[in-house]
Amino acid sequence: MRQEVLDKMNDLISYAKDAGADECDVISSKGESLSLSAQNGAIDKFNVAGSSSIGIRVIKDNKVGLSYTESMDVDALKFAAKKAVENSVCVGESPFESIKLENKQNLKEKKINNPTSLEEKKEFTLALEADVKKRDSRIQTVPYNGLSERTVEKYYLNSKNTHTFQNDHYYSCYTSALINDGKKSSMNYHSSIAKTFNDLDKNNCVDQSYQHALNWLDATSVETGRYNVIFTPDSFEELFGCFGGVFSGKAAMEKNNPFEEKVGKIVGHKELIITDSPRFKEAFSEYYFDDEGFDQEDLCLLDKGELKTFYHNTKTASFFNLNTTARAARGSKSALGVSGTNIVIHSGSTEESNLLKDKYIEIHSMQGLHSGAKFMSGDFSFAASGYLKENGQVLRPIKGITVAGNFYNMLKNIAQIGNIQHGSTHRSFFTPLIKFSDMSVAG
Amino acid sequence: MLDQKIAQDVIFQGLSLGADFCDIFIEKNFVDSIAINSSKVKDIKSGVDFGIGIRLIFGTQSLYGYTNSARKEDLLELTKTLGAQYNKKIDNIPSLSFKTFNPTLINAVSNLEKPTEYKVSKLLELNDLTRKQSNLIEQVNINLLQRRQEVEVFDSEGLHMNDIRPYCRISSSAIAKDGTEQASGSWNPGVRGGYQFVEDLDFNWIADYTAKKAVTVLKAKPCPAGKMPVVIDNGFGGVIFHEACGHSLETTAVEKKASVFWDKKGEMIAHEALSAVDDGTIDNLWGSLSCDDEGMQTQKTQLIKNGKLENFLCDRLGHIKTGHPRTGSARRESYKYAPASRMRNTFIEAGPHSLEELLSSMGDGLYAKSMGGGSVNPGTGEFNFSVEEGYMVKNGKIQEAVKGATLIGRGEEIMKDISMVGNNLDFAAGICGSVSGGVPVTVGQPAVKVDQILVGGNA
Repeated sequence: MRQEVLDKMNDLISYAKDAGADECDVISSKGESLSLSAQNGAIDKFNVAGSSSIGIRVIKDNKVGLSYTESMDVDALKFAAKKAVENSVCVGESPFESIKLENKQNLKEKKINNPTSLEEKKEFTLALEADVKKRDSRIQTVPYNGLSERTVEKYYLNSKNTHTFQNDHYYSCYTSALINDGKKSSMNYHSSIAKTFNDLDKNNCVDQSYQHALNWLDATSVETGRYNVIFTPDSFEELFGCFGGVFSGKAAMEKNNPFEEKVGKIVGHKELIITDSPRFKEAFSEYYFDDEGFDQEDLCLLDKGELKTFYHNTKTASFFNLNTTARAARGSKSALGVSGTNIVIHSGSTEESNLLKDKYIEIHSMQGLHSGAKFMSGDFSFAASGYLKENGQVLRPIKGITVAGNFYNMLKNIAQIGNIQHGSTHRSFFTPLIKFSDMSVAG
Repeated sequence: MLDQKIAQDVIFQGLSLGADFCDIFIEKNFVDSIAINSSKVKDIKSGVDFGIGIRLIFGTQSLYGYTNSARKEDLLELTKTLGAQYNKKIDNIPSLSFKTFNPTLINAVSNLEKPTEYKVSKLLELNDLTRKQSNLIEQVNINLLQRRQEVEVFDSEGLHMNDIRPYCRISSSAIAKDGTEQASGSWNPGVRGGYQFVEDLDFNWIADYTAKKAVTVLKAKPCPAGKMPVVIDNGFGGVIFHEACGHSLETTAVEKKASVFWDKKGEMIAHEALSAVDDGTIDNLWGSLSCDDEGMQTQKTQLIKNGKLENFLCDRLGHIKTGHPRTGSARRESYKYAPASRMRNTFIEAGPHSLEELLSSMGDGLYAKSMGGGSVNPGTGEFNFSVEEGYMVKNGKIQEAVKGATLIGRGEEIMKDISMVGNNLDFAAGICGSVSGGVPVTVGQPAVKVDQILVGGNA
């Protein structure tokens, strides 16, 4: 199958050259998936899927054009090549964008072993619902639950004989608990991701879904005021994700990045060190090369509060007169961009037990992240649930609050950074607990 | 797009494997986009999506699969894989013939064939106009998206339907900068239709609106936090109803009892001042459809009338599971999703009051002139949404601009706290994300007054 895809990619490059392209590169993505969910003791949804797409970027007379297709017949490929060349005509000259890497092969093929039977997967899915229901008679329903298995393949080929390939195979599952005591209702869900079926942590999904939903059933808000706040690693990953674009060299080049002129300047607390680490030992995913074929290594983004660099591809690096940091990102349907890999925030100097000493709000779950964050200004305001805690012990659960602040100011005004690193549920984000003081909470 | 004989064979196979119902969704999607940044063309992209989704329904169970292949053997193999879950074999399936359904077509803004160079020059004109509005405008980002979705549906009840859905949307965003402070103002209108829509836009108005909004937010003070009355103005303000109530009226949530309203049909769930509809039949609107993704004619569905819950939004599977009538609301982002009950153009109907009456009756509070997006947990009704441009109100008079406000609450409560409805109904386009992906929807409302809601901001 791999050779068949490569043949199509080579054909597309030939068609683009025939249409007048000077250089081009092609990305092809293929995926297969199986997903199941349960309702009322039976499998209610069973989905299987296979899809592929192929996208081309052409450079002609220093101008860039893009197109893609999901049809792989000769006519569709020729049409895609022609459209890409046509699109390049109306674009201004792009002196910084080029296809650089020559004669490189980088293939990271994982052997995919799938010994789990469909019956086992069905039983597992049914248990995601049943195990939650068993916990409490007040559980009205388990509205969202499911098991997914995915295989993904990504191919890169350019007209300078560089070819990369990477594949992956993984499982994920999630479940939820909706508790209703007749007057109040509360809901929570939790997920797990693993490389093998047996490593999925169903019991933790069930425990976390049920326990927090139960805790928040009788939760109330807090008085409006200023509080010490600590985010769980999962919720801090979500918050960080809203503003992670500040490390984008592309956004900086396009003047859509509030940190555009801050490289070499202090933007964070003196203890704050952030690294983008493609093969962090505890991370779920490993990354070897970017979507221009360049090898990826650890990249220090913030060192003791100083912004060191951005995520760069060859285009953004050329714009800033730098070398690429090998963080090019491009899907078969998208333009050349940048992206990070695993984010690692280094441990600080405060004993975690000391950090947890005073009274604080632990933010556990946030809603409205896609709308409540203003990337350019750094302002955010989210609905949240969590716990009022002291000495690490729960004083009471809280919900129906909003937490608001300015992320860029928060980075500078960190009160304490803990000395123990924790991973998020999906193991793509690693951080010590960080205490922010004087945060605005409304209830 | 798909040979009828192949469709017959696939459906025959599905029924032979014991399915009660089988349908095939074929989609071809032509996409063209132009992006402007830094007063230059950032990129121009084109693409063609193509795929086929096959669904088998056994009782209340839905089996769904999709592929990029239109080859008969691949489609039969996919159907076999799905049907193998039940391991049934039914003989004597009667032969199937299709009857083409021709729905009443909903009008679309006409397409105007213009070369790409012309479209680029128009977008650059908007870029220049926006930059001229203020010295504080540092950056302008403009995107034009044109999409033509061709859809075909076959089902085991003999339905055959073709539909063509043109979409055109422009997004214009101005970024204002003053020292280290930055803020943005955007306008993102869209229609069911083609490029004529862009020709008809008033670029001077858009430039003024986005630049003014960016500069206003740049200079705004943090919004005070706490519970207070809020007047939410028209247009995209309708996201409040969309999030706080609309999602909870989709049978996707109702069928699982994961909606606070699942058993409330016929009951008062809102203030008597409030009536709301979901109407997929309005000409040219971004969320309108001639047919839904199960091939059913779309309709106008009265959701709430004078506070009473009248109807849910229902697709075929929702009907099977709940008994509520289908409403032509089955939608999906693409062939990669099974259809689900989704909103189309959802809005609170106009009331009798002027905006000034709403503000003056409020006394002190917050005036949310334009809203950002939001989200809801239908199971608990807990929602949140952000205020893009807001002003404090003192003694019924609009005062200083404020930023960083979020409104949160529970759908059941806020529906009863909307005590006054204005007369300035307007609509706005958006993309709604849910179980069947992101679909074009319109939100809308006249200005409404909420007696009390928690405002998240600066404590």
